[in-house]
Amino acid sequence: MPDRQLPGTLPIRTNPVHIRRASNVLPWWRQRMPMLLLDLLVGIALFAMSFSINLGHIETTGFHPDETRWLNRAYYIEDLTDPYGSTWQDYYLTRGQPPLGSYVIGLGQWVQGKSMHPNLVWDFYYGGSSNWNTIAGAMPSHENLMAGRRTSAFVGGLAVMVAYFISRKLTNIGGGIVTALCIAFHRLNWGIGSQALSDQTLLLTLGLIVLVGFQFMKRPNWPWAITLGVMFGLGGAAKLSPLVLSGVATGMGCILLFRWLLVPVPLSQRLKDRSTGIKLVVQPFIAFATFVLVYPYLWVEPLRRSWYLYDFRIREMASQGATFEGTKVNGIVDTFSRITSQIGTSRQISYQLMEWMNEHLGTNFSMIKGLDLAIGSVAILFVVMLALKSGLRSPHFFTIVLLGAEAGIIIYGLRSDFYRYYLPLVLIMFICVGVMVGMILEWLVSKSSWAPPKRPIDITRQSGLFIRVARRHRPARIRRHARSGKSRQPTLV
Amino acid sequence: MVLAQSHRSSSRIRTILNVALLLSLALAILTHTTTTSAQDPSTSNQDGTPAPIINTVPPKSGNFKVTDSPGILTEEQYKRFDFDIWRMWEDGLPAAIFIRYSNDANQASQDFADALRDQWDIESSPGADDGLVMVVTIRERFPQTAILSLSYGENAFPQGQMTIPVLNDILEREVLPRIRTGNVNDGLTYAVRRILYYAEYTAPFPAPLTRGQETLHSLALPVSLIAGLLLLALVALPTRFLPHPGKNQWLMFAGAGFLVVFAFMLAAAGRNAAASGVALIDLVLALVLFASTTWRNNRRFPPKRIRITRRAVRGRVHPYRSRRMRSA
Repeated sequence: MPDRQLPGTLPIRTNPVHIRRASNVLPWWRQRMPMLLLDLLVGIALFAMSFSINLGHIETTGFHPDETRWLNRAYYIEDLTDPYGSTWQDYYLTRGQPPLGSYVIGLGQWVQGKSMHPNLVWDFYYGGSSNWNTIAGAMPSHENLMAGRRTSAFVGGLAVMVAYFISRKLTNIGGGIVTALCIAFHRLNWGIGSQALSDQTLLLTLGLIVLVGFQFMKRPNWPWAITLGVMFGLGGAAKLSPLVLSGVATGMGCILLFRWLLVPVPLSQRLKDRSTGIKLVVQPFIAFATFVLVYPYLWVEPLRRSWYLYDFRIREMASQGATFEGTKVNGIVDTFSRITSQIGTSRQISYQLMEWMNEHLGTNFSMIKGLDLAIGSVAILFVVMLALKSGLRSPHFFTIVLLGAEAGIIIYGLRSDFYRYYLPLVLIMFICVGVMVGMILEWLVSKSSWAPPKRPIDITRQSGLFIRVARRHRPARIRRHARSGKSRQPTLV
Repeated sequence: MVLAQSHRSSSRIRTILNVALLLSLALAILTHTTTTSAQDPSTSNQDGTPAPIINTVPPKSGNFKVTDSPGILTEEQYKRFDFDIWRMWEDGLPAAIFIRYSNDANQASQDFADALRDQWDIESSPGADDGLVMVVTIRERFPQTAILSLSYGENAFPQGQMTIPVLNDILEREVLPRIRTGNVNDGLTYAVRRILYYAEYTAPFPAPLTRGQETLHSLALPVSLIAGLLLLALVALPTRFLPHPGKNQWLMFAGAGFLVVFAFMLAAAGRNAAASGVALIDLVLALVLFASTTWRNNRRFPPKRIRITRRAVRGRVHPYRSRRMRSA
């Protein structure tokens, strides 16, 4: 082939390389199969462990009247077939809570073959221990209560598995396992996981939002963007706060869209920023559309009734603070002191560990108040470091922003002090702890003799490309190698 | 007697006048009594004894919402009922409880309840006619038995899903058996709290469709089906047959998406469940097609060959052909 020469340039050879998909390169899922299998096995094992821990407590955990409310609404999933029926009219119950928790409980009842109308509505005006509610039929039977609790335990197990995957994505298997173990054994987690409530559903949707957010930033395409928006919407359908997170995603998108105005960004990066930013900016719309679609109550008047829901939640939290003595939260300082008292005293994984050691190993440790929170605070530093190191458009940064935003929403929006409201904080705290442990493990391994030798990146393996160099341009070594028929996998030179 | 002690001359005339006056008074009283009995035969009790004239409604005063003139409720029970009635008012159902001793029969008690609701203006606003009055009449002779009379306005029910038949059913099953045996507290508790439960925790019945909604209702299903078909035609077929979708395909997606959303809104406005279901399926289909197309585009392999040619040559003669021509 003759050399061609552009005017004023060195001669170039035309057509020296052909790139095509290599037929003998394994697809990505087969390349990563061992790791995927390992992850899956560990995840399933952690799910099974958490599920069994939750199940072990369903008989002994005390009854809470809120459980009756969720069980009462189990019929919601049945009435989805009649989206304009009386179930979805505007009244106390439809305004009271978004529906996903009720759907989950209803699905659990259906799978276990239990009644979809297990009890009437518990009337809190007559107190938590009133005889009237029992007489009036608001108390579910033992069987139905246990069925609801089993559903919650199952969802709790799934939430722990998702937490493992989040930390695993952010760091490594070690970090993931630490996160999952801490959450699974945490007293607050199994306490709520063994009650027929919707908080484990919230935890699961939060975890899925973060996990999908990670995947989206890794591959910022429309399918993942839509999935992320849908997850925001489902989170909002569990409890309203994750809907606000979609606003955080929009903020992040705006930063990506306009950061070139403040800092110099190369054109190629700017194009990527623009593509990712647009997909983040539209998140609230996708989230709201999903939120409306999963709740037939909103179909007729989406905006007004969504406002009713939000307004009801705000007023109910305020009235809870006013009705139940000592639960009203006054300001941000009070919020932090409540957090310390709720998840910094007896509901600490460190305290549980000490208790276990005192019981089984004969040690004599006493509780250190706020030890979990102190470790969590140190872990936050590690997490911030990881975010800054990874860069603005990295999956790690976005994931950590989402976690931080959720924590901020809970802390800022806390109006009454109920133990359940702290469960997402436990999730976030132990993800941070898991990340910290994972980073330390990585550092230790890199310094030890176990560290794998550094190899050059095999581009043919990584990209799945077969790069064939034109015959006459191949070095003699490769030609010989190819002729010998020893390798079907030519190497890039 | 006074007349007899007056002057002898005029005493006779005065005596006659006084007797006439007394006779007329006696006649008037007798006439009034017989008229009342004739007008309302139900005022006589079932045992034949004449009913006492106590149907006069007392004036509205103090805490009129719960009136316990016999004092049969304990203080705690009274507070509980007071709270429950307050909740009823908060829920938009003005109500009052009146407990009294009387020998009134059922109808008389009912009349008393009606009169009480009317004269005390138990309603949310003048003319609303949405009040509810519960009168418990305890027999003076048999205090262990009582009558419950409910008087409610035309607009008082339904409350949530509590209609008059439901109310009557609850009264028959849970309330009246207790009231009849003199267990006023339990009976009233059931009555008040069941009504409260239905008012607060049961869904109201959907409003009937307006004429416009009926039109939308009938249009919604065909529009949803057409949207689904168009979606398939606009999106699925080009996706299948166009290997390199361009700007036109995005416009098609936008158009199909708009159509599906419009169909869903139409179904929601016309409250058509089937059409909503079809529109939802359309929407999911559109999203899946959109996602799969973009996914495929993203994963599409870059061009199979990289050809490096001179700018001048590009576009004029195909490089492959030029090479063939040259080699030939």
